[in-house]
Amino acid sequence: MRLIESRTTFVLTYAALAILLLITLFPIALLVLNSLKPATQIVQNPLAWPEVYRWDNFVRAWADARFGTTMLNSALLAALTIVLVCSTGSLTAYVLARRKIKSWKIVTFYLLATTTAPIQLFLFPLYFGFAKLGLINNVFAVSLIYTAIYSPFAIMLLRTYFLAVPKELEEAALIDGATHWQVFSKVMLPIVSPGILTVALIIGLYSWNEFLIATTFLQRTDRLTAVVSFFLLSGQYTSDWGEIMAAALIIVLPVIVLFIALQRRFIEGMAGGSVKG
Amino acid sequence: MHRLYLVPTLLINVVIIFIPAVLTIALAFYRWDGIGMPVFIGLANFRQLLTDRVFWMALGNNVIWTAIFLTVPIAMGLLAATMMLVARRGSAFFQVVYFLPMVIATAITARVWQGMIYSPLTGIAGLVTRAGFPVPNPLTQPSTALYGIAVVDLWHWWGFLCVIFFAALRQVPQEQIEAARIEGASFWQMLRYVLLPGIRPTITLMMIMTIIWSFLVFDFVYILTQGGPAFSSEVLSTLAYRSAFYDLAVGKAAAVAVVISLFGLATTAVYIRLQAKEFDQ
Amino acid sequence: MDRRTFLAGSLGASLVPLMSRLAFAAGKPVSWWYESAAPAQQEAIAKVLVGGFNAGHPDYSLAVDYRGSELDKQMRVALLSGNGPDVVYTAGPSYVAPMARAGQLLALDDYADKLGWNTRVLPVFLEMGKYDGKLFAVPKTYETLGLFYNKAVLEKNGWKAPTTIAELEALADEALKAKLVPFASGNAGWRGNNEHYVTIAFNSIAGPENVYKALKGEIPWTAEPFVAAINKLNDWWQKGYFGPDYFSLETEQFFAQMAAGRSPMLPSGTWHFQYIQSYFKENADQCGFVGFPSADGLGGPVYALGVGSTLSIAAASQNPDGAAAAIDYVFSPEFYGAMNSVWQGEWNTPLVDLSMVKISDAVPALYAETMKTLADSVAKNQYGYTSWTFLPPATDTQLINGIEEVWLGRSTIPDYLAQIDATFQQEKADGKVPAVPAR
Repeated sequence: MRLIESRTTFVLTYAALAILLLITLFPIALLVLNSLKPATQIVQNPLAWPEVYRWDNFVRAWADARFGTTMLNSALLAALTIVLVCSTGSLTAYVLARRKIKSWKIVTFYLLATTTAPIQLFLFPLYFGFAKLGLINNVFAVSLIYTAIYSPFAIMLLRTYFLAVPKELEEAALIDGATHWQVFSKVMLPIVSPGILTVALIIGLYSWNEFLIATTFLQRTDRLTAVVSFFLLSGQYTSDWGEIMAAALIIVLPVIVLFIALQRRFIEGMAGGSVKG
Repeated sequence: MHRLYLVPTLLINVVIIFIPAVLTIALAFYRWDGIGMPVFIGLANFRQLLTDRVFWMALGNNVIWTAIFLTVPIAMGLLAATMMLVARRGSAFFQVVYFLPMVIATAITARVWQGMIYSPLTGIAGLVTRAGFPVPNPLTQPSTALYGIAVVDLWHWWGFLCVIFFAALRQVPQEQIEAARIEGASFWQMLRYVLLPGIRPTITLMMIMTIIWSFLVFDFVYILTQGGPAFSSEVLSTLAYRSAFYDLAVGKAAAVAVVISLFGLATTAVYIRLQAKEFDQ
Repeated sequence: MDRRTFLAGSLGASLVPLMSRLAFAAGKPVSWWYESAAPAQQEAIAKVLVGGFNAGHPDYSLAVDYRGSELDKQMRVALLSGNGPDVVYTAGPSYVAPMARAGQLLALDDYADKLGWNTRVLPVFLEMGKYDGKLFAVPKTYETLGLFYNKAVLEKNGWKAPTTIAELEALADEALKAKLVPFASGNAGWRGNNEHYVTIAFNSIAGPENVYKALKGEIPWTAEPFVAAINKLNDWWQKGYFGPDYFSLETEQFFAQMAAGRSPMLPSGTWHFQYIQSYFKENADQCGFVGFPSADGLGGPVYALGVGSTLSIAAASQNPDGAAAAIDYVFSPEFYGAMNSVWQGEWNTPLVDLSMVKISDAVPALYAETMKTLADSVAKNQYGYTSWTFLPPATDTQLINGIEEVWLGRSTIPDYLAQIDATFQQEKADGKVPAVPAR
């Protein structure tokens, strides 16, 4: 079924959608195109096709941004955050979805409120406090910060998955003599595992891309994340835009591939967490 | 027993967010350079903000930013989403592409725009200028810097709204659309009387989130202009960050952070109230 | 703070990293946090500083860790909690006073006596590192501002390197007519670049005597000579001397602009020497440098003295002797020669006697000459004052950000200077103004 039948409207609609498509893809195309060009050619014309393919842009970018180390840091940070968010978040989401405690409403509203608090409201004491405890440049400490920031979002999303599980399942398990913990870990968790996977993807993406916290708390050369080392490379160490775009592509490519492969999960997860309560 | 389940989440949350937030509020009444002992100065930090031109400029920029993001991306998203509803075929593909900028790190998006588009040397602006049509780098003009940043954020952001609106539009009951069509409603009438009212709750929620997020904007401003030139694109969050870490004025930074939070607070209340309705269902 | 945003192309691939050999050093650890350094510069540090020091001091094991552009922020909180490095590296004397006052730094007077720094280091610089009469920091490098120019461009147009402000303006006006950007300049990579031009205006137009008096609190920053200086600087901006892309260009990009002949001149600091080889290539001798032309009555160019970084020892250091040995090594002629051969402008340590120093022939002779001229003017007490060395932090920030507002018409010159003065007087009262050696 269609909303309208007129052929012109139809053509116009596609034309407009195509223009928006071009606008969206244009900067990404520039990124890819120029990652292959020598700096001198970029200065002449950022739109031109590469005269020579400078694959060594990637080699230099990899070395200069120390991606060997920094990508590993980013991956470690993302993995830690995923584990923390999913484990603590699913516990909380279950309790809140099933209203297992009387104060579930207060806890929910408190968590919602923290999602809207500006980072600057807690950044400065946190920074000085962590410094005092020697936690600057500590990947685990940063994953704790991410966990605090991303948990409410993850909990709200997971909550909807728990809500979708029929209550009877839980009751049946209890009657069969399962403990509360067994009900949660053996019955509920396996059912909501698709939701947990979605949350893991989104949280992984957020921690991989995060900038403000990472740049503030991880500054030792061997602790930088990939995004921060890209930022330093592009701002301070080189003005060879071929190399900078190559570094950008190295960080973005795995994300884009993953996104295209698992688009449904990404889109539903990111959109879902903020739309549904 | 189930109370224990909440302990990990709440513990992390309280240690990372709640306690530091309380400390920030306290710090706002002190003068502290991050080195010596904090000195209690009462409301002096806030009084100074009242007479600080840069603070007012930053606040104004946040308001402009909110106004831009309450209109442009929401309109774009709604329009594209309805068009996708019309087009149907290919909508899944359009949706993925429009959403793509959301998964790219802000630091990278910022650099691509800075170097490949806005730069007079390596960007499209330079290319056009060399071809004889001078285009100044918008990030370097006080009158346009904020808008130059906003364009980048718009590019990054509108697709997200589009996808959300599209998902909501598909939930509008088919019978309503069919009925309107039989009555001979034009596309605009359909939009105005059927589709938009149908997804009103989603639009409201997105508007509230937009207001909250607009006061939190940081990354793009920090990377693209650091608030310059001449503070013309300063926003409250960059002002706070710069005060704390570069000007050694942690107390002033805390005061700015408190102001940001106050602005967020009212909106947050509305947000929670709306969410509460959903919970009660 | 500093202004460097660069890839030291000149360091090139000829250096072999010695990392693997150093990884197993066994001496007592000495830690040193450095700011950001380009990959090639990190190689130079690994080889010349770390490698050289550890080879000569088997008892110690020096490790340099890069903390990026926010070193200062990290250092501050680390010292606060007693977790800092042994060698405390600051962005200039103005950062030393607050740390010394808070008792976070070790007094260096004993080491200076024992290790002979008093005779090896130019006394003015030791003076600048003092707080309450005690030595807390030694400058790692010193620098000055002047005028780089492209000889080929000047020759082609029949211009001469300017020696007076009038000549400078005449040349710049001619350049504008020839569709060139008179001053290769920009602040995209580092906003602090603004202060180089303000420093030039203060010293070469208002004159170092006035700056000295203002620093001592004898005259306010709103005094007439400073108004005239900023007026002149603003005229230059309004006439377009700084070009249309000032806010878009990074340091290397505007250096390339001068090298490519699109700008005849580049007013800035001696750290730009490191770019000559990579951008002028085989025409390195086509890059000229003169002291910045000065206003009538100042008698020749004023060399504004800048200290971009200082070295101290943390009060909480577990290995102060090792840290002192590392600092001592930086002040050796061998180190000066080896480091300046591969990396110019950043390791110009204030040695009294440069006659023992051997620098690679590949480095332009102009560099050594310039450094000598600067050393002489410092020895004769005729130097000027850079903002990043002699102004306290908040005043300096004010100076950097405020000048943009003047240029862009968002603030007036009297307001700008009044704000600088207010901030300065507040910081002076708080004891945050760095030591200023008597003239």
